[in-house]
Amino acid sequence: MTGPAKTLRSDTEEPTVVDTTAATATGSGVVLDGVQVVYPTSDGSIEAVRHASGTVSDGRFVSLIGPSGCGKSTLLDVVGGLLATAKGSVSINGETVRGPRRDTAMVFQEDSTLHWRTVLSNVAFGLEIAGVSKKEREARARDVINLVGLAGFEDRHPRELSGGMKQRVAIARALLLDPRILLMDEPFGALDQQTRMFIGRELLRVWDETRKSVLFVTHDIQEAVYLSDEVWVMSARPSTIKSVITVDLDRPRVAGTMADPRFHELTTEVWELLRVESEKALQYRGELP
Amino acid sequence: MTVTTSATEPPRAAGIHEEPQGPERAKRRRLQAARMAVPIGFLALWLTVSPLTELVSAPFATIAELADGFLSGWIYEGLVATASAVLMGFLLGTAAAFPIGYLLGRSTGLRRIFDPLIAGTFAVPRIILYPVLLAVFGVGLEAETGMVAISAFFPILMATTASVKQVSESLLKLGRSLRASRLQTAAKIVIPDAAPGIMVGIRIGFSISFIAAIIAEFFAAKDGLGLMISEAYASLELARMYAIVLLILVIASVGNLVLWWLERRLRHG
Ligand SMILES: Nc1ncnc2c1ncn2[C@@H]1O[C@H](COP(=O)(O)OP(=O)(O)O)[C@@H](O)[C@H]1O
Ligand SMILES: [Mg+2]
Repeated sequence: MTGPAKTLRSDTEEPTVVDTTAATATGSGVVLDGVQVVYPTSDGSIEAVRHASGTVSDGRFVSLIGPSGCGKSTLLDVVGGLLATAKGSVSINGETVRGPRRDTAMVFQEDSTLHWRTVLSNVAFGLEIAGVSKKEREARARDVINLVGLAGFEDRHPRELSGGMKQRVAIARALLLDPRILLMDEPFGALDQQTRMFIGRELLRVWDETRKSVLFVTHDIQEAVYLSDEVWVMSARPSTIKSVITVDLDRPRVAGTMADPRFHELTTEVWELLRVESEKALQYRGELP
Repeated sequence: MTVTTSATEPPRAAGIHEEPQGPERAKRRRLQAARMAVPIGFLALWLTVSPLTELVSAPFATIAELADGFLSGWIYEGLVATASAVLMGFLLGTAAAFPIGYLLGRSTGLRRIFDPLIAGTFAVPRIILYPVLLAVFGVGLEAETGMVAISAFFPILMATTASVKQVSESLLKLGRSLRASRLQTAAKIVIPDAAPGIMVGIRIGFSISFIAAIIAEFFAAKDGLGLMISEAYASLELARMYAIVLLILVIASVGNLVLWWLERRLRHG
């Protein structure tokens, strides 16, 4: 452990530093190279992630799954430039991540809608911060609002929306930034099974049109397999990316995909890997003998 | 209907909804009636009590005296003096408390340093500083304004610090990930999210401004409604005394109502 995790500052004036040496060393896409993250705590420090390595190639949909508290959100924050590593690094298309970047956008695990703003102005918020004119950002926001199925709710406030609709607002806000890389932290975590399958299908439809790279955190095995090209299984804390499972199911995924015997095989495989880790995590916390 | 109703929050036509109809409207009528009942009850109590004792002047005599104050003009000097001390002091106090409160709310390090200091001085009765102000500025508007500013400062500072500190972590994270500048973070995330709490502090600060001005005037002043009350009391002009008390009551209530309305506007966007 080399030191506490530092919070990175966003810096609008200075563009993210381009590390040309790293560009030759690493390939395209998002490359995690031996990432370690340590949080300072009141009584010392906690090693949230020990050693995470992996590559999200351009246009791939990758799910990150693991026992709760294993460092999934932490890892996503590192890729999003919100958190510094203690060791190792993340690079995007060869540039080392040193802070939030224009070509990544995040959807957070918790509700991140601005409760005093309407849906329209929430969705347009990212462009507002980027300095896009009101007329232009609202016109573009309306398109994305249609895309995520929120048409007709433009003038509502978050308190008038269900949890699923609020998550769509956050997804629309991220999509409107037109990032090359979308980082989503359990975006459907608070939803019931039917709704999450439904919104998941819609997310795939949008992804099909835009082919962004996606790093998608979930704790739902079926969701991970259904959506992804690859499933990364994390170990219990202090965590590593333990296995990468390539999902060789045909696209587009349809309702019938879940009846495919291969789907069953893949979910069973992920479940087996995860079961071992979840037991370790529970033992560690003293909830199992 | 997504509109909810409670005693403190009357229904509001939200978003695309039409004006409330049927039961909603009846509910709103009942609420308004309940609100009217309080001042009417107060007037009734006053009417009943005043004939029983010589210490309370009758409502009509009081209102007539107040009207006379405006018509023949004896009230203006005091009114203007108190109003300027309250307004200027309140604005000064707010102007100092808001930025300091914001910085304290945003910085754990600063809070660690200043929290004990603020908690300690908060317990000190502010009025003991008045003699100091009198010694510095002499009797007059400056000392009184200073007293008001100091009194308004603390509740606004504390409310601002507390509400800024509690701004949702995920909203701050959102701001950072969107590369918001410090100014954008303040104007578009922190202040709007903290606004309801800050407004509560501002309302309390306003009430305390009034109290501070009147108490300062009881103590030492050249002009002011507080001074006029103590003079009327000393010369047993009860109608005049109650007339001024009534005027202060009305001004303070109206001022606070305006702030309350502002607060609700902020809360509901
Ligand atoms: N800000 C923080 N300070 C200290 N510890 C933290 C912080 N955030 C997360 N942790 C700890 O780091 C570990 C990983 O957290 P997290 O990334 O949120 O897990 P996950 O998203 O996989 O559930 C947990 O043990 C958590 O308690
Ligand atoms: Mg998490």
